[in-house]
Amino acid sequence: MMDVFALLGHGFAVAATPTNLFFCLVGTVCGTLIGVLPGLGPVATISLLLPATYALNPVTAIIMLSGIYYGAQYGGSTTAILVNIPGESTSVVTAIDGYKMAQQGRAGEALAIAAIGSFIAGCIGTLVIALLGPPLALMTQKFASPDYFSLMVLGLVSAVVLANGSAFRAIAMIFLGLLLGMVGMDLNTGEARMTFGLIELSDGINFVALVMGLFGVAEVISNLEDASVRIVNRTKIHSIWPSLKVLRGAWAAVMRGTLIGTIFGILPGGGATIASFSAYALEKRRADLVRTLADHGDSHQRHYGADGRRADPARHCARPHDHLAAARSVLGADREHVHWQCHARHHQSADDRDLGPAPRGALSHSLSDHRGDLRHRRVLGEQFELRRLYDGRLLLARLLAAQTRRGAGASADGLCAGPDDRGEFPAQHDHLAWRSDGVSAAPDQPGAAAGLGGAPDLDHDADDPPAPRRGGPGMSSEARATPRIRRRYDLEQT
Amino acid sequence: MRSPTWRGNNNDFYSGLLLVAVATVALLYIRTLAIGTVLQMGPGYFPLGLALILLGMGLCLVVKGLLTSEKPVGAFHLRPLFFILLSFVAFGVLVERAGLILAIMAQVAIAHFASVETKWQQSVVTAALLAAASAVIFVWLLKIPVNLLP
Repeated sequence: MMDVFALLGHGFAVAATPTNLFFCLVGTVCGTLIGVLPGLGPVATISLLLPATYALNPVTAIIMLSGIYYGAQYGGSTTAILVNIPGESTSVVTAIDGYKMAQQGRAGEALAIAAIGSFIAGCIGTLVIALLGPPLALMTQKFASPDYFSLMVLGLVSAVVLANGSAFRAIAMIFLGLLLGMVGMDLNTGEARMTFGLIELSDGINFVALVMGLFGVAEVISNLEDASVRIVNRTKIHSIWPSLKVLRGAWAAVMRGTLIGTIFGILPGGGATIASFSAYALEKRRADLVRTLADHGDSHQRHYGADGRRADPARHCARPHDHLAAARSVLGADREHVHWQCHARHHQSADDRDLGPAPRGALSHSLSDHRGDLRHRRVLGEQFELRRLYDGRLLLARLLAAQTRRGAGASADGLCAGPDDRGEFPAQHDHLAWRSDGVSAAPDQPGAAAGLGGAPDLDHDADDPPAPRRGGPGMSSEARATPRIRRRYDLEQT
Repeated sequence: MRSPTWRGNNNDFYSGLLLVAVATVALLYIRTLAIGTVLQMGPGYFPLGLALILLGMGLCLVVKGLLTSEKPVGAFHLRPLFFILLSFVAFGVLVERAGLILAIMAQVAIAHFASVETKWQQSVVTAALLAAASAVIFVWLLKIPVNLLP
């Protein structure tokens, strides 16, 4: 273990020369500048700037390439947040909530949180890889043909399992990639296969050329097609620094995202897209649970009004962007499951509880109080009540949820909040509007609406058939399999 | 271009068509390779298997696309596709014959027509800056063996 840190120290000593740091800066700046351009993600940016590193010595070149990679990865989130154009598939989920924040005039916050999150996750992920490096390297030395074969099968299978969209098409794309990998000289006989008689192809299809075509050029062309639906956000960015409260609310989510990203990053065939979608799915599930459990009462009232009639404000802004639909198709099944769970618990709590004194007392006690305290007290009340009513498993889940609610406070609404379910409660829950009967929650309403109303509402058209965007996430993850297969095949060849 | 109401106008149909096309081209080129047997595989054995599987899957997708009425794909925009690809071809053809600067000018000029949004002033500035930056970075700084002018 100490070995690792000694080596890390050596690495830092090598990296931290003025020249290397300068080229790291150059790479990061160039990467961010090019990554900001919609349609040019990290892979395209690296392939564009790869020639720029030819003249450097290997260490400096690698450092500069890393800078380009991180810069481009972050640059994609800028367009995602500001103009709702994800530069590549990994920033699709950034666009979902980030653009909503930008529309509320919180673009600076969103940008800063994205940058801070990327930085923390990047550092921790690199450290984990460095610590796991030696054992992994030992393992790879023992690798023989059967192991490589198994690894490739694992990669191909997980590429299918984790691909979003049709599994059949994902498998077909695997075979397409394998077939493209056949181009070039046969290893055993030296005979040229499918090279169209071109000597240039005898070494196989150039990886960078393939990637440029699949990602760079394809995205450029599809962005030109979508010109009519681009919406420019003209709100001014006031402050880039998020408040301390926002940071406190975000750090747990950043940590969970880091964990998921690290795990999926190590697994072959997973990749950043899968990791970002999984992390978003987790956060949304958490936010849903937390919200449903912690304030089902007042949310119900807010949406159905005191008389039980639905009074839904116009939050259904039209968003013609297909990647949201694609995201919905990925997250849809998951969300329905959550709905179902929430409803089940809803019934249970409605039937079991006698509208105990704790929540009611907490509410009436602090009517004139500000919102955070109100919620805090309500959560405490719920905890008290729950201890009485539920078994250990449910208690644990609810306690966790309530605690997050308390810790995250208002910021959780804007940051980790996905679409809200509150419009989904069935009508027979009207008796749950008990809070609106006895207690006037008027002070609670405007504040809560300001905090929660901005959460993107993905559910309002959940019945629409999901439409994976051509050349978008659905397609590109299938297409993404192609270069990966090619790389694995290279692995086998060498 | 077909009308959006056409029955086979969906993702499955077009991806199936793509797979069938790729597999057919591959099969044409595999014809000349020795196939061999299971025990003595020739260079064409594995590609042949892959191409046949791909052909089958492509046909399945085509049939599925014709039978189901999924959400239709949007209209094809041939204009950006054509002009962007043509601009790459122009660059590739010109860069060794006419030099880097003219090739970049030609590429930007052709790509200009890919979108109705671009104004010619933008394109002129882009071409000039791109040519200058490429000349400085790639030829002058990085010494990549490319002629600047014919």
